Amino acid sequence: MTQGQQIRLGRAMVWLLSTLMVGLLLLPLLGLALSTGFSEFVAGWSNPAVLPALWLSLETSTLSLLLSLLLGTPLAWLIAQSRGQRQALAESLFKLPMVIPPAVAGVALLVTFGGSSWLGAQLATLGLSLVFTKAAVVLAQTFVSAPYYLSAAISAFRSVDSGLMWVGRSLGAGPARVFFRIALPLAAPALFSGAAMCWARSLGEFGATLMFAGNLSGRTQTMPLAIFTALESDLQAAQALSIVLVLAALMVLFGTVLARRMGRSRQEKGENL
Amino acid sequence: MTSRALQVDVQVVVGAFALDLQLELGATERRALIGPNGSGKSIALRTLIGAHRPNRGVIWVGDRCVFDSARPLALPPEARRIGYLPQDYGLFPHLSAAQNVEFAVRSRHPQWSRSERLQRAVAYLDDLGVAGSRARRPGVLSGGERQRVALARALAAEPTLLLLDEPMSALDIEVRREVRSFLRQTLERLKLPTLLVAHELDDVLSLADRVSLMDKGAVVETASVEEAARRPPTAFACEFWRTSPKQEPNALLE
Repeated sequence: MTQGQQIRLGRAMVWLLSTLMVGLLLLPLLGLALSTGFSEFVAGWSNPAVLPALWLSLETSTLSLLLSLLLGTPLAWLIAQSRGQRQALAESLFKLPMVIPPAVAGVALLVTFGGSSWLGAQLATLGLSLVFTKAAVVLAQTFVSAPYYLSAAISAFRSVDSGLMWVGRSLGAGPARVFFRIALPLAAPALFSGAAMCWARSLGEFGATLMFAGNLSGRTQTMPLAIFTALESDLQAAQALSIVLVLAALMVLFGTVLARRMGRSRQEKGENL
Repeated sequence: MTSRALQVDVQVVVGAFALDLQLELGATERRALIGPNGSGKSIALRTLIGAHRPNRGVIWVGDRCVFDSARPLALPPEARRIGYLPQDYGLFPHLSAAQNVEFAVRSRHPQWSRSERLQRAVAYLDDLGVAGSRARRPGVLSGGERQRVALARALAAEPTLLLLDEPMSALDIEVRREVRSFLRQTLERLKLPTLLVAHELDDVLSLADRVSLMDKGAVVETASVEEAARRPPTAFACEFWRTSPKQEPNALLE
């Protein structure tokens, strides 16, 4: 084989493998879109489980996002400010829920907060029970999705030049004003995309929710659970819900790309007063 | 009321670096800090604003004590009234020039309305000849404009002492002469005690009236600019003053 042929063969291989990868990633989505015609999509909505699942999913994933923002932002700030091995260890520990299988997360939540656990017993004496409630859905979603926001927020805060913050302090601003006027706006685009990923992960949460919160239509049955349930009886409903989730995912992706671009152009140029 | 602008006697450890800084600045003095890379010049400035906490010692700014390990007292950076320009000027990239200055105005006048603060900010910009850039972000400003905006911002916080870390290093060679002479005029007009880290002989000659030579985390010599050039005590100083101990450096200086 001549050298030219070798190069051509190599190029062909790269193209072939790349095409297979693209096919593997896009074909299932294309299949879903093509098999769900407009009439199937509309018909899917007539299933009585669909709308409650949609609303429950929107409600719980939004609550879990707010929880992650409220509790995750201060923690990310603390971790980003500190340096050294202990901080690195803490950081990877908090990322663990991202990596462990959802089923394991479900078991962990169940044995920690469930009715037969010590915490569950304490809650029961107060007349509270988490399992099979909306709160359990939010808890399960937050457990698996908060690390997505947390890790994005840590690197966002860490990328803010600490020199700017010292200058801000030397200009007479206290730590709070430096945080809200300098650190937060500079980190905002990355925080936004972290929040979007976090919300998307909550929206898609399945395993941990199923095990910890159950699959009660109208109470704990989120969209992924409704899809799973409908798969046996009403494929059209499953398809309709799937399309909604794909559209939501697309929105999140475009949103993060847009946020990143906005962040870049905001620093490079532009006028404002 | 004392006639000194700054009195420092501190020991600071930052990582593996140990700084043992003794320094005194006259009321309207402009002092240059020179010394080889890693001699602790920038760490000295950052210690003064409060970014590094000394292990022991005292820092007086004018007649106010801002740090004393014996009391113990450590004022936070926002209470020290020390203006600080880092090498890259440290402008906030997401804020316009006027908003950058307004950030500092707000520290002194928290009760003012936003438009009052912006108005004052533009006055500071105007004073340094960059009011035309008020609505522009730092990213589109030239190096010289950035320096002026940063200076206006530092002044807006009404400091009693000014620290400049290599004010020329972020500039293109071609514009340095012009920016330097503007900075010189401004500093002379302000009569604000100034401590500046310098790497270039030209900067020391035009911006400072006295100079301290640092080596390995300590000040090894302080003298007037003319005197320091006459008897350079270290190899670095010889090279800095473009002279050797045997030569007669006065001729070189003129």
